[in-house]
Amino acid sequence: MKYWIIVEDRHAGPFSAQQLVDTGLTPDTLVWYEGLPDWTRAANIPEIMQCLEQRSIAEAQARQELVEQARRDEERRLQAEEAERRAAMLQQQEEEARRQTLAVEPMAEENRHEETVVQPAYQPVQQAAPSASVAAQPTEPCPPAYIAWSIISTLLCCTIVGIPAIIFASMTKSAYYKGDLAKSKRYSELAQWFIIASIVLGAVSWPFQIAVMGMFQ
Amino acid sequence: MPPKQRIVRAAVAIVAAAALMSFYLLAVRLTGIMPRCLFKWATGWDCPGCGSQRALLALLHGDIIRAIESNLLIPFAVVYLALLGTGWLYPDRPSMHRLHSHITSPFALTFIAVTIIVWTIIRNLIGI
Repeated sequence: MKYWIIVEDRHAGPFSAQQLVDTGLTPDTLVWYEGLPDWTRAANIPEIMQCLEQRSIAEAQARQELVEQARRDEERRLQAEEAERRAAMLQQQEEEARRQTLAVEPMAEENRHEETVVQPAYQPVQQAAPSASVAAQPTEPCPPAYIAWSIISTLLCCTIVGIPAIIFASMTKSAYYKGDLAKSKRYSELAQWFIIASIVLGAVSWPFQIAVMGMFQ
Repeated sequence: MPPKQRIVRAAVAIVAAAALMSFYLLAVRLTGIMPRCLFKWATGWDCPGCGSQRALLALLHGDIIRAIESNLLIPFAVVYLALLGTGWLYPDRPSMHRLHSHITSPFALTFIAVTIIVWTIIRNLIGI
């Protein structure tokens, strides 16, 4: 199933349910798919909600994993510290034993030993970043459908030419929702031409009728 | 919405209101020369807009019954255009945006087109 969504006043799509969930869709995002009479909240579409749920479970698991990882790291660090401490203690004991047996030891020797840095035994594990989210690419806004104009020109200019304008306005929108921008633009232009024709005919008819009525009266 | 656009849209709304007002004030005197329908003049049939001016005038006078008798669609069209205009004036409000996308959905527009066509045929058949 292919879905379209409204993101920041713009339509985007088509997406699969999984892609939608990756775009950071919320249950309140308006969603539409072919065959649906109107936009609806994502919460009303079972497939999307299922994906969303799966994702939140996966996220919770990932979080759990992170916590576990941190705990293991901490443990390992503590162990390493402990080992280090023990090693240092051993070294000191050895040193002392040596000093006692030799009685005299150059100071530099001792300093050198103290400065020895024990490399920590662990390497912090690089956490894999959460799966890169696919940003929704808001497509171009819908070409003007001239809905108000087509209705005004049909009902007020009193010309039958306004009806195709309404039909093309409707086709502009549905072509756009289906992702066919080129077709949508063409219909938008056609709607525009029919509206212009309708208004011109309406405007022309007034003086024309006055003239005709004047002739026959 | 940028402030400039807001001003332009508000101005358009005021001009539309002024046009309705002047229609209300002038049409009473100009009833005789209200523009007639070219389609009706040529074919003798009613077009979807026939009676719209009488209906609009009746609506402006608050006479809904007479408006419906003149042109059944006009009261509905006025409500629809008012909703459309409100959504157009306040596009930033989520509720308005939702309303706007509902009433301009392909389904809604197809419904409107079909309604107008079917009603035009019916009005010619039974003469309303």
